[in-house]
Amino acid sequence: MTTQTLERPAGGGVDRLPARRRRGGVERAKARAGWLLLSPALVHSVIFVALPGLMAVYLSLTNARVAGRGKWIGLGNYVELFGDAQFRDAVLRTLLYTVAVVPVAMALSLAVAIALNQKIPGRALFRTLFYVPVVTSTVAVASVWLWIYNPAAGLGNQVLSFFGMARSGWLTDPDVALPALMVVGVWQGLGAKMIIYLAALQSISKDLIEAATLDGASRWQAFRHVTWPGIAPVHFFVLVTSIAGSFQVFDLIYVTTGGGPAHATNVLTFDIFTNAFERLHIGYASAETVIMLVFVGILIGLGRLSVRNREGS
Amino acid sequence: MMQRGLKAVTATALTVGLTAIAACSSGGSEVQESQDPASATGTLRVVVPNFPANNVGQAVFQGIVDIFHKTYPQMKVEPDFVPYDNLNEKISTSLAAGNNYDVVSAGIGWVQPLADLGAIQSLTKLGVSTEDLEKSVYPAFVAPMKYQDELYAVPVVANPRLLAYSKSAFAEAGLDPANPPQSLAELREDAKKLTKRDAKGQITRTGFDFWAPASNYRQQFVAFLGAKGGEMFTADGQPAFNGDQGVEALQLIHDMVSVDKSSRYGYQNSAKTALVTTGEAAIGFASPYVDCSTGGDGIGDKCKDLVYFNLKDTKEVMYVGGRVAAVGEGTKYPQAALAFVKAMQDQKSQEAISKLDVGVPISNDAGDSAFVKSNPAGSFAWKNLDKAIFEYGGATFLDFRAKFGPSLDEVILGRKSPQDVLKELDSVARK
Repeated sequence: MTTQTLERPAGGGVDRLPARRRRGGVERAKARAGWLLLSPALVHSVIFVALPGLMAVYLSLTNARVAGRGKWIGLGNYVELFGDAQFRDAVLRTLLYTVAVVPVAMALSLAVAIALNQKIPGRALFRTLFYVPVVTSTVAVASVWLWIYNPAAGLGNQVLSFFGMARSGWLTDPDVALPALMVVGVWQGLGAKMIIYLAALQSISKDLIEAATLDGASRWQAFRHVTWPGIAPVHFFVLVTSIAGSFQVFDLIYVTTGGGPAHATNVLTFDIFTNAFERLHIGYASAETVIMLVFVGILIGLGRLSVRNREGS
Repeated sequence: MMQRGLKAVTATALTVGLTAIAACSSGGSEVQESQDPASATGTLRVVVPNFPANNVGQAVFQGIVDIFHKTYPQMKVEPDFVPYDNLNEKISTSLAAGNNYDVVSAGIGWVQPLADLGAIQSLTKLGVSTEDLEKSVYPAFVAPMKYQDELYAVPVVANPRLLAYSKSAFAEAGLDPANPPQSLAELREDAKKLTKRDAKGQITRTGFDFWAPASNYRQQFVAFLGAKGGEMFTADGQPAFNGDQGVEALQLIHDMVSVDKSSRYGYQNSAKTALVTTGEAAIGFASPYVDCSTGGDGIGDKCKDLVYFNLKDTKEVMYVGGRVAAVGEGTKYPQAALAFVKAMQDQKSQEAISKLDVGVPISNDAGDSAFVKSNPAGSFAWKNLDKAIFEYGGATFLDFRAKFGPSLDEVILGRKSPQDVLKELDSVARK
């Protein structure tokens, strides 16, 4: 235990307390400003995220067909969901989509970011082109891909024909439809991830790379031991947003396949939509939503855990 | 993309939020419906599916409003044009918000589920009698309008799916143009003979066109089921499709699409018109409205090459869907809403909607109208409305409908047997 003297120190002590008070006042003012700036986002989050989230949990415990018109049934919806083959398949399909799209998109976007971090001609143009799909409406993107995947006159089959391969049904073949949409998902998400990686790469000090090179490190070794650890925090951010994004893939499927053919692209969000607005079982759909949120939470938690472990080691 | 996805995920929850907001917003001015229509004021909210939001759709809707304004000149009308695919979403969110539509137009299959849901109200209680309706429309259309012995909607137009074939294609393939196929087996054989392919085996002319996008072979299945003598639901709403007729009908679609490949699964031209009408198929399902003029969207002389027919396997049937109109539950203006429903039933409205939404007027006397007589497809359809087979079935129909199309796909594309799928669908329909 340390002892503190209550005596005022000689010389200069007279001004210290007001200075501390001033600092405290500044801190409080900063905190007030922080809350003030945060308040619009906070109000938005409470009204449009927290409140609907809580209501979804409540609805999931009712048999409501339309919001506000249901009876309490406890865990009835959850019990029914675990016996619902269509829900189970939708979850597996969503996991498959996530497992396929997230790592591929992350690897590709990192590769593109590294390439566009070099001094190459037309670099600004390429960066813009890669980012265009991100700022384009998914409906527009999906419409273009609908043409590419058109079985009769689409670019996809023209390319296959050029190489002497048989035409594909793309979006009408149950074995091909989901992989075809994964390609779109990877392509569309590339730009956003690329920009984040690019920013991370540019924040790594060139001195460190130079030092590693002077110490005899090869380009790969410099990347592996300097660049890679430098962008590690960004991996986590990209991973989390990518997982959340891939679990929420909806508009692409809504526009292109409507969950078909033969349920082949019926992912979780689309199943939720179908149950809520086509079958008019909003209580059941809310239970699916809650389960989805739990899934995303677990995946993000696992990602966070792996980052902590890495940092710890 | 992520933000849009987030909206989709939380949409179910947000609708609940609307309920709370509605509690605040619905306490506005309570306008009582005036006894005198001439002085009644207020705004009537109307939801209409499959009306394009372009000038053509607006003009047709304005025509209905003009008829309505003859009785209620001071009432405003606020339309909400939606595709059928979004109709439930619109209705459910409006109910959740406590701001239901005053007039609901929908498909035949919606009547009983919406009545059960409390989205539309009994027209019987508003003074519309079943007997009067039976006198004014084809009698077959009355039963689908009823729920628990009360009338909840009135039919506006019928939307049949006709069968048509090209005489020239028949002659070219060595088939008799005067003898269309009668049974499902004959249809399959003719379709095989009529399919044209290039050197690589790619189809250049479809043998039989189902005129259906992927996951939407429901109506076509119902048509084939009916031709086999089956029906979707019994009069008391019990599922009746899970039998030999259903299996044979579904097996035939699978055989034509996946075995013979005389039909391309989910294929539609860019205008989404029936391929047999444009000459891209030799036989197929077609619209009951065909424009035989030479300008605009008219197909000109191709009209003369088309022959409309019904299959007569076990029973002669024609698949019929249709558009209905109903008064929303909780409306402040029930009489004005009823007047709008009647304006939709007006002969002029029926003809305009028929042209807009590939339909045929449903009035008893429409057969004599110039509109029906001038259109060979419409004329055939109207004469055969007594052979109608419907898809609707009970209060759980929307639940069933959501699973119906995608489940049929599983058979058509060879992933499951017809027996398994029909058994699964049967259990869904019985829930």
